[in-house]
Amino acid sequence: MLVLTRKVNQSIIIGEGIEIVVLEVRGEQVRLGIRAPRNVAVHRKEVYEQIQTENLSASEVREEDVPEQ
Amino acid sequence: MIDTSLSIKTVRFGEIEFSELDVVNFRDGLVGLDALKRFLILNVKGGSPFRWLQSLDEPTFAMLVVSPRTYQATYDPPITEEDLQNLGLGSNDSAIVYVTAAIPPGSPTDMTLNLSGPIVINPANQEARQIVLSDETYNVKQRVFPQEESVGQKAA
Repeated sequence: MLVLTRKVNQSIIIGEGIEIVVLEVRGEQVRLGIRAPRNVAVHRKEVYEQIQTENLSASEVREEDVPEQ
Repeated sequence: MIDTSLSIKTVRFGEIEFSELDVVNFRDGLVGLDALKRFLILNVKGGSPFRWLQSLDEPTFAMLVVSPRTYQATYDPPITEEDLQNLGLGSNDSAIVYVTAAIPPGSPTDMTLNLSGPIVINPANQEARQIVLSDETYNVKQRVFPQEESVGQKAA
């Protein structure tokens, strides 16, 4: 993992066209701004992983458990 | 264009014949499973509101989905204009929405729906997308039946 240290209002540029800006640091929270092309999805990691997990769970359902009504 | 009949051997359902018109295309795949882009929607037996989203890229993979209004009449996910446009949907066009359903083995009353990651399909062009809702209104594991008090252990 590449580790960089930034101050408020400093940025990181990833590839071409993705920029992450540190907007504010308040206590334990860091507010980040993200500029990315429209075709690049940007999400909080835990939400993304939860959805991935539910997708996998939905693929493991046994047919006999599916409600018929 | 000649519509040739295609078929796929699936693990759950055996061999299935379909035509290209039946294929639902997720340009960006599923969340966390972005290699899975082409799917069929298969009915569950009886008059069930559930469907199986059967992968054509990976025959062993099929997800249980259901129309969310079956259990949550007020479900109204905040889908962005951009997501609609990506699917070719105008604001007056009707989309088909499914959510994934997870059912622990032998416990249908413990079913949960993922209301945070709805699957939106444009029936006019069969383009689809699984959308990650950015606000936290909805649950990723939403129970639909009241929790039973279990007495002793259920057989698996």
